[in-house]
Amino acid sequence: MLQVSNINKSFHSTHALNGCSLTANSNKITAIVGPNGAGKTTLFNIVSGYTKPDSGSILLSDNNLRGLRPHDIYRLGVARTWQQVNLFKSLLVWQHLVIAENNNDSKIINNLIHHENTPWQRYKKHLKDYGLDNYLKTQVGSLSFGQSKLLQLAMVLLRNNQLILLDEPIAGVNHVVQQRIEKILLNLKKRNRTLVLIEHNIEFVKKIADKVIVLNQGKVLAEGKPTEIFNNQKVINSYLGT
Amino acid sequence: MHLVIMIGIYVTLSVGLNLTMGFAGVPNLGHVAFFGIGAYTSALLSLSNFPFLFALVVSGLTGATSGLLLILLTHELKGGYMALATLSFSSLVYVTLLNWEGLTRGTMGIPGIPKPGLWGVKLAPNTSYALIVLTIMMISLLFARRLTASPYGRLWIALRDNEVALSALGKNIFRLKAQNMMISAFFAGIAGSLFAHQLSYIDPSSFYLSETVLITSIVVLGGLASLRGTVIATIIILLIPEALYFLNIPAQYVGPAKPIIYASLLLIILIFRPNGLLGKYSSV
Repeated sequence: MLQVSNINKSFHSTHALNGCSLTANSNKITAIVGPNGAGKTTLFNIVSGYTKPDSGSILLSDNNLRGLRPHDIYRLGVARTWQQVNLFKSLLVWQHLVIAENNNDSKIINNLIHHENTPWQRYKKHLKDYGLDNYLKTQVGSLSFGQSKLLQLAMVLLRNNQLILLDEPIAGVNHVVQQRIEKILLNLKKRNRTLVLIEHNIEFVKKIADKVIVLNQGKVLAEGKPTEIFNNQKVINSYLGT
Repeated sequence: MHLVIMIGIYVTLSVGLNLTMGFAGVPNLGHVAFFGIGAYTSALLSLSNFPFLFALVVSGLTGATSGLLLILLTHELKGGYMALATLSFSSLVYVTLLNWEGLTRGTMGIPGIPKPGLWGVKLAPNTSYALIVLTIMMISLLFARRLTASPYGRLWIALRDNEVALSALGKNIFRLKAQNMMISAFFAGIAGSLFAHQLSYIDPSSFYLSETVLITSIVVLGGLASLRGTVIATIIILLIPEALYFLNIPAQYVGPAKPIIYASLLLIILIFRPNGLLGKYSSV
């Protein structure tokens, strides 16, 4: 479970987050929605260690994530994807999986002594759900935008990460990829993961989210089940419009 | 034989630079500083009667320590800022070598650096020294090849491509950069030691801007992240002055012509063939 309490963050005179508190439970999909500039991505950056909050606390189960560096946070089981594709353009698809999964690749002596054993069959099987099983040896620069988004997802879901943060997972992808991502995320709920996503596509959120949190001007405006939230007059006025 | 030795030394030096510049994508213009630090360390230790092997290893280690110092100061800088910072570091080392006369004798340089002996065996003839240099070059190349082809080496490429994404996958970026710079600087320190013992005289002018242009030209001509390319480019570039002699150009013009040729070559490669001879990645 992720518990964010009273987070404040200002960039010069702009208050990006203003006493923001929220909870995301295991086995549930929590969607964060809100207008541009509401503080959604800043919140993700704070939870994943890329931005330091001015105050507040971030707890994942018993671990306090505040003040930790991004790589330490990943090792505690927090993985994230990005709104834009964030891959390594010179590397092949399978090499991305190795980097995402392998904890021993930073040990120089280990690497000099041991030969690499790539678990091809396991990777192929893992990538089948993402429609990428025939692309193991493809350079990521040759993948389409949708395939790259799927690969990002495949990388963070390869390890048994406890908390998965997805920043606009279906932005810019076609209907087929969208359906594939939807299926993958719904399957994940059964595997004791805590999923938090930022999404502007309301129809998608309605289909997959168990809980919706609306952020506005750095604060939680409303939270609850999708049906309640999208009929909430405050939310309609400030975010959805008429 | 002198040329073979110099090729061996510059391959070791340039392979080290390719590890930072080519594999990890760090625009490092300070590599020559580690080369100088290694050369002076080895010269001073040898003149204090320490054995060559000891001086060689300590030169590599002082290079690596300087590399750590540089990355501690600069690890958050990117692109042009990193290039400027590393260039400033090499200027700082150059000025120190020039002005710390009590230790380095400044512009007068250090003469009489002995030819190495291993375990009491005098290796005065160039043939024996060539064997030592080529052995060290081969070890450096094999080490670099093994490391860059391993999952660890892949992290350097990933670091080059996307630092933010790599840290989001649990990799300690500072540690990777520090290890990369230290290994690279170790190579430079070793090359510096070999250089000092080959020439038997060193002064600060061998470790400044013209040398930076020379080794950067080698790496860019050979191709970023290509070890084979670095070897071929070193041979080509070090043979250029010989070609000038072959063309009957008077000796007094060959010296000044070298930096002009190297700088022009670098410019031409950057404009017309940014991937170099065998490079996988563009240098621009």
